[in-house]
Amino acid sequence: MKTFRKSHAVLAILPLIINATACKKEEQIVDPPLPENELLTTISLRLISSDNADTLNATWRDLTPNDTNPPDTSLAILNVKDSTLYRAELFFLDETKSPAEDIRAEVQERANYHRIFYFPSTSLGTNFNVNITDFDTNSPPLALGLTSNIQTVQSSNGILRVVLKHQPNGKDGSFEPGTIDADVNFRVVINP
Amino acid sequence: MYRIQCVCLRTLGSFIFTVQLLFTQQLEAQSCDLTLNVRIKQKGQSDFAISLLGPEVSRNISHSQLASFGKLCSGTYKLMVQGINFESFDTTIDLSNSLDISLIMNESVHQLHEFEVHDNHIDRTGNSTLSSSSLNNAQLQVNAGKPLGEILKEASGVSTLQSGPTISKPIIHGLHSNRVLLIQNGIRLEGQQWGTEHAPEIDPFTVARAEVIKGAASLRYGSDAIGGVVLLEPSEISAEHGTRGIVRLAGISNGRMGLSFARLDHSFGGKLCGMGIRIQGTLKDAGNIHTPDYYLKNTGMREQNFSSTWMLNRKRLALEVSGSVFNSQIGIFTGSHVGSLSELQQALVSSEPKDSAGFSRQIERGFQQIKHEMLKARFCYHFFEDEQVEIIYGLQRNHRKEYDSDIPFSSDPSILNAPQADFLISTHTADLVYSRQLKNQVQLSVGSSLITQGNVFKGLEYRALIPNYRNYGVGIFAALTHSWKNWKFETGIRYDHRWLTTYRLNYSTLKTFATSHTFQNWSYSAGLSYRVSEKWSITANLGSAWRAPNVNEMYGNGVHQSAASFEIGDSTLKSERALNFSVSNVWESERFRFELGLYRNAINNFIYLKPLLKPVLTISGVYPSFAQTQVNALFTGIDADYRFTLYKGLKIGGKMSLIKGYNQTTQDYVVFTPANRAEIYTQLEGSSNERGVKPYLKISFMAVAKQNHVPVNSDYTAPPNAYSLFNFDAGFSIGNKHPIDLGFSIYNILDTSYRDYLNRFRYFSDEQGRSIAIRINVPFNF
Repeated sequence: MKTFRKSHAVLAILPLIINATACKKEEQIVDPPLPENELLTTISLRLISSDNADTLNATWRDLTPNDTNPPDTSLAILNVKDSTLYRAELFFLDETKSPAEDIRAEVQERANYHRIFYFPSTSLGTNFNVNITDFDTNSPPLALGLTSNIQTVQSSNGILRVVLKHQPNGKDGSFEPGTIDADVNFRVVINP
Repeated sequence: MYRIQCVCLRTLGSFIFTVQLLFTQQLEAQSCDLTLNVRIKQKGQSDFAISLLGPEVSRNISHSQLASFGKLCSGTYKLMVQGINFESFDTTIDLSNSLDISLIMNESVHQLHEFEVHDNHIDRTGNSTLSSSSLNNAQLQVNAGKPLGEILKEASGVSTLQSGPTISKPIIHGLHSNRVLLIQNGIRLEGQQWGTEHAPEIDPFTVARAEVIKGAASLRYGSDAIGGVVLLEPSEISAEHGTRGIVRLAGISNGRMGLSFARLDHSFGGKLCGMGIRIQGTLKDAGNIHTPDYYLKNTGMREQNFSSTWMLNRKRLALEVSGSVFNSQIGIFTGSHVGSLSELQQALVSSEPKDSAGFSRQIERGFQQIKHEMLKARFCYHFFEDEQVEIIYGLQRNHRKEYDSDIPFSSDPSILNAPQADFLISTHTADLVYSRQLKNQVQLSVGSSLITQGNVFKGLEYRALIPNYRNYGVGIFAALTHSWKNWKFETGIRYDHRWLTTYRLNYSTLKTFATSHTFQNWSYSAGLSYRVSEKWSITANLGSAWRAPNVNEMYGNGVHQSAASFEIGDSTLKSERALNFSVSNVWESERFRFELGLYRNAINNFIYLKPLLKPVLTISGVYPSFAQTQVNALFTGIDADYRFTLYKGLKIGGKMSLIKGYNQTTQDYVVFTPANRAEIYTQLEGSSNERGVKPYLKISFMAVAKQNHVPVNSDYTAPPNAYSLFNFDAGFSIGNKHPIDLGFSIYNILDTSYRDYLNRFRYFSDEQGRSIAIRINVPFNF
């Protein structure tokens, strides 16, 4: 029988020594979010009637986009008049920054990669018509959707779904290619 | 008195065997009172016929791994060892003193020109009553070019979790990711294992032997392995003086993948006898994968790996220092990117992906870039025969960058080209194992392991998928093995303590705050093996292990893009505790081998994503939400494996894996449990060539059932239908001295369109179609 030797104990603590010398504390520095990287928190739609008499704003806002806190949709409502033509403008904002960052510029800059779609619900039917008025630099140009004309007809209620699609290689005017960057609903009330 | 011989080999006739002269016990040289002890070190039970031919004697000992020839006179003897499924071995011994010889026999499946010397490693498994399956070099090489996860599927009871054609990871008995440990060359692989779309950073070309230990009973490797352990071993550097190497090339039609691998070994002689060096490297390049009907856009991949090793085997001492770099860039199938649930639902109803493509090698945005660096130092010292200590230190640095196909909203070019997620994890591990024989047939091993790791997240994401953290772990274990007649008994115990501190940012004050957790617990295992007869043995093992919740399960919050789900972590999660019971039966004769294994793995506090049935509204749409929840789960299953020689070179074989995962808390099934599967094959083998591959043809048929055991509301669509595939393999060698091996395979011969339940991209596309692979191995020697 061989006995356990004291020298073995030295070997046993060797890994401990190696380990103790090997700790860096890089992980204790947590980088704040990069200021240049913008978050999409807010989508607002501004409607101005063709006689410039009326200006309407509807806003869909989620300042905590990465958790389960529900977004603030209390202002995501458009109260429009019937038989009226509106000029509409869509804004994308990062309101986690102060002052709020306008993301529209990036969408504009890469107009050939983006497309905004407007889907009025069936209950609005033909009483709420959106015609996009801005275009990208494709040839022939394809619609972008940051500005549009909205023509209302008869009074009714419904929902306007606004979708920002990111279509890096496949923009062809249709909805299918690419991925969804934003997909929000605005309530629409057309008053007599 | 002991005298120890250098492990350097003399040239011993054949390359096909390995010999290790560990210790020579020198007794007083009496003319005819010498003893020759031959021990065959082989994992698992195998029978050998050991014969000794000498001037006056001819003795045979059959069906044994241990032979003792006593009362021998000095002189020249011929020693021969033969075993079923092993290449036979013979050598000449000049006996002047009593000798103890240890042999490691090579399995004779296909190609065995690899000259492997298993030096004095401490047996890595240390446990033979565990249910395990191993893959030899030949099985690994037939699958050249496939990801590691896919290759391991060859072992019964193992399936894969895939994310498209390029990313796969092993599932053992229904468990994967953090519940399965991968031990590469003695070091546990530490990357971002938690991610289902994070493949292990291992180059399969550097693996000569893979062993899958199934179940929770492996105490040697730490507490997390409640699903099992995969041991991956490189080939050993030959101890014989000289320079040798191998070049392997492979081409695979699907994806037009090109693979090349080269290895150069040099073993020194003379005064430097016992020293060896190795360098090896792999290059891999592939383009878009084709399903039977269409190409999968952006599924190319590139890989560049390099490693080098220095080793020294001297008398009582073995040293090794090695370093490796694994680099890969993997395209993520464009069609799998969904920005919202509505897009996912659209993908589910369409028969083809929305983004079609032709063939291209270009990898566009929507890719992963991973660099894994590893440094290993190993020290092994023999105090006496059967008393040794092994220390392994490992340093790993894993840098994973994930680039989404969506470019961030920014006008700054450095942001536009930056990855959305950037994880850097550095890990130090140190393992110590001391083992010795207490008395006849009683083997003790004790050990400790230390681990510390720091994780740093940088990236564009507003919140980290996992926060920065630092963890420390300490484990100690002891295991005892006792053999008695036809019985073998094993038992072991392990204690682990872990500290975890996370560092997060308070976004309103922009101050970092720390949160700490500690976890500690015991693991234990007991096993019994009984050899009923020469051909039949029964093994049973009962083991219990635990796993601390992972950081992503505790703190991961947010939209999981590739799964179109909103996942909610829980920082109060407790540890999982598994109780695993397995029984296995092996019947083995010359022509027939049958193995049947049964298992039952009960896991308390099993962590899984429970569907909340409460959609979460975000700016990019509505997502179903899932919360990390703990339940009691039970996995039960059967693995069977058989092979039968019908007539000479004509063999048939097959395997089958049945598994059921049940959530006992909710009285429902466990989501993403592998479907039942079976495989049969017929193989025609030519006569044995001295060194190269025996010429062979093999056709196999694999059938996978539909998974009908799925929980409600946990998935977006029903599991895919059952499918079956035919595969073909063939191989032969040219030349005798340094045979060149050639291999040819066809996967999915009939170009069947199918989807697999465990592929996370089954929502978007079919699996890959027919693929033809050719392989060539050219060994060389100076």
